[in-house]
Amino acid sequence: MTQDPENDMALAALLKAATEVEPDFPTDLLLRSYAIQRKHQFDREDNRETSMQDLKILLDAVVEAQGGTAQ
Amino acid sequence: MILHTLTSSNFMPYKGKMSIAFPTNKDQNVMLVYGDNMRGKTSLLNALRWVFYGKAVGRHSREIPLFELMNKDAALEGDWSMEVAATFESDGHRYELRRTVNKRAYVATPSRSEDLEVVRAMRKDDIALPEHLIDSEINRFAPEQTSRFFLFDGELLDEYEQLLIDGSEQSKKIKEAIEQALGVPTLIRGRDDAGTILKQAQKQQSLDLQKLGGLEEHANKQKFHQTQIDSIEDDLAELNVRLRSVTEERMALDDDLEKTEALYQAKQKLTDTKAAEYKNEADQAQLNAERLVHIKDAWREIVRPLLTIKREHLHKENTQLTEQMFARNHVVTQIAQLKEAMKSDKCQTCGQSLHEKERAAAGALLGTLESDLLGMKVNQASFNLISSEIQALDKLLKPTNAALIPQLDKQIAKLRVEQTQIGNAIEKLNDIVQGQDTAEIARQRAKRDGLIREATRISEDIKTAQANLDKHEKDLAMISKVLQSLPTARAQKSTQLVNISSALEKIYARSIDRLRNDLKLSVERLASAAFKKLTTQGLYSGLRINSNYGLTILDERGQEVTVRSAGAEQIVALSLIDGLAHAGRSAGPVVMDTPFGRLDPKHRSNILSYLPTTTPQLVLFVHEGEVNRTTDLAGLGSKIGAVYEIQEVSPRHSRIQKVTQ
Amino acid sequence: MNTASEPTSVRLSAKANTILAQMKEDSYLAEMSDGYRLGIALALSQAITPPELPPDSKTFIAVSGLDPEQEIATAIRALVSLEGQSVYRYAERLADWGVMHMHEQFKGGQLDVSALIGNLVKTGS
Repeated sequence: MTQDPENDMALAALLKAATEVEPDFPTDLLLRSYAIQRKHQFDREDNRETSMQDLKILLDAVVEAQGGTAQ
Repeated sequence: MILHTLTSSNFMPYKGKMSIAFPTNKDQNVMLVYGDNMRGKTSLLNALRWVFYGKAVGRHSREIPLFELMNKDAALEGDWSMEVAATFESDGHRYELRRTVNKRAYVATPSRSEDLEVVRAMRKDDIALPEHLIDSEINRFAPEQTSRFFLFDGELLDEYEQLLIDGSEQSKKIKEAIEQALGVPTLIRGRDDAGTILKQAQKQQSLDLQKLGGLEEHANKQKFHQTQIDSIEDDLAELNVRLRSVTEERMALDDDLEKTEALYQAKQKLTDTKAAEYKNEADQAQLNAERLVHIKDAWREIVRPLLTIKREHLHKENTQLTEQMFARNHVVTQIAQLKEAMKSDKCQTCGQSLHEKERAAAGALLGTLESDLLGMKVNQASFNLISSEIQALDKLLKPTNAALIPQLDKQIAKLRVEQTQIGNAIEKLNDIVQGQDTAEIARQRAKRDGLIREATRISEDIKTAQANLDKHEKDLAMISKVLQSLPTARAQKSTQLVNISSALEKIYARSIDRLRNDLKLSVERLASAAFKKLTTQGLYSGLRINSNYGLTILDERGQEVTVRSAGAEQIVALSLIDGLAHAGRSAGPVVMDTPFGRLDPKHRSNILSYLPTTTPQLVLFVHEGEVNRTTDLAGLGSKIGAVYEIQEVSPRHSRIQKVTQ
Repeated sequence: MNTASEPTSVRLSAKANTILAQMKEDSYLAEMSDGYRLGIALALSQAITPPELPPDSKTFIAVSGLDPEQEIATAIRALVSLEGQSVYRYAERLADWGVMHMHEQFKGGQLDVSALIGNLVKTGS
């Protein structure tokens, strides 16, 4: 795959999609989620959990920062 | 990535050591490998595949078991070691990758893959890499998913042509492979990961909300839908596994049936030929029976010539006798007339009286005639005998059917020759058919057809389950929305997580379609550019891509060209691959079988001029029968950096040698 | 007339009998009598003076069965000057010679009636 983020078609598509369906979604968060996916893109099928766990950690941190009521 | 060397030991047909060096000069970046089919070209490709990814593939991209990769001759000699090693550079680093196989210590004579063990080692700039980092290192410059576009088997070309058949089994697989190489899975995974987190968050949310007063109903509804969704997703997973297994089984049967198709045809032909033999025998029997009947009269035909001559003689004789009888009668009549004349003294003719002189003359004549008559003895009996003999012979000489015997014999002889030919054909067909159980073949066919039906059924079930799933997910989303508007609910962390992950899932889901669309346009553009360089038809304006990455040719008016030659198909497929390689930024060398069988010289020339410009290293496998060394390859001329030749030592042992140009 | 009296049946040597039996078994003849007639015809066509029958000769067939219309007799009389000999006694000798000769010519192979008809058979002895 390409090494040059400016020519990354997948990323471009992702950013465009965000403006179409969730324009208020934080771009920074989107980019960080994408970085996780890129990092794990060639993981073997039996290693699928890793990317999901990394993403969960990221989102939990965001929710924590927003300060909600935990139960 | 630039390949430097490839070496092997006992890999596939390359018994013992094999070693090749790739050209690394940018201006002389083409390597030619000559060899006939089945000598080892595909095995070279597989050596590269195997050392990088641990996989070697055979027909229909089916993986070849490890055990089958070991050189058979070496194994027979008790040598159970096999190795492939490659050296290459990428991103300024030097690499050495080695994969070694040996028999397991406790196994005396390996008989299956499990009896062998594989060890892998990689050095980067002379430093050994830990085993667990090797895969990610390889993925940096030659991920397996994109290897399709550079480790390019000629057979693959046929696969790409399948893309033009929308909805075919093959086209779905290839589409998946293409999208994988072009980054779509990254987004799909993003969507799936976000989806998983969302589900978990929703479950937690249900639990949280149940504890909050007034929201139990929503929580319960949410829980209900979540449970349904989980259950349906499990069902779907199971159905998909079943569908895959049924499809694989069916494809394996297809392969077997293809092999046996030829035998099936032979068997059919055998049945027809045996029927012809039967008819031939019946015809011969009939003619022989006819013949036997006629033989009864054959004796007549044998004596016919002599009897005919005899009859002619008898006829002559009879004619003579008849003439004699007429002559005698004439004399008798004359005597009678003279006697009457002398008695009446009158001429019998004119009625006048006879003079003395005339009386004397008549008397003399009478005497002569009576004397003559005495000598005219006619044998009436003889005449009668001969007449009856002639009559008897005429009866004998009546035509018979026995005269047909020579003709019948000719026909029978012809049938006998045909019979021999038929017999030979049957023998040949029997050899082919020997041992093939056509009942088994019919059974396999029936089984295959049954599998197709089952696959259809399973697909229907999947559709239904999916529809169900969608409904529940919609309902769940509605509840989420309601909850969002409730302040107490909104405050929960679980609700916030639900909101974030739901939004993320939506974005990724949308991006997949976007990317697919963008890719199609991009590939279309790149493939069209390649196509215009490769085609000889100047009026074609380009290619159009369909949802399966199938391509149609557009003429100068932008109209679809519907009738295409096999050669055109190849060009289109090549264009697609080139377009994909560029869209996916495939960085590897291109190793390919020359797909020239169906192309005319001009197309070949175009391909050979174009290919070296698309990749830093080009390795072409050349089959002597397909390519003319002097004319076709003239275009490559100065770009050729190395030439090798694969030679067959024996059916299980090939050798590759460098050729000085 | 000093013509010999005619027998009521005709004979054939044991050897010739065996030959005809084999020819019938091999389906070259429908009946053995067909071969007997062929033998007579062959001998006639070669203008052979046939030898006497060997002593082991036995009755083969009734004259009425062999030659109901006396056509064979007619043929023999037409082509041979019998000089008072019995026509059917002569026929026997012709038949025996003819059968032995056919066997000689087509030894082991098919009885090539077409060849006989086409006079392709060369005179033997």
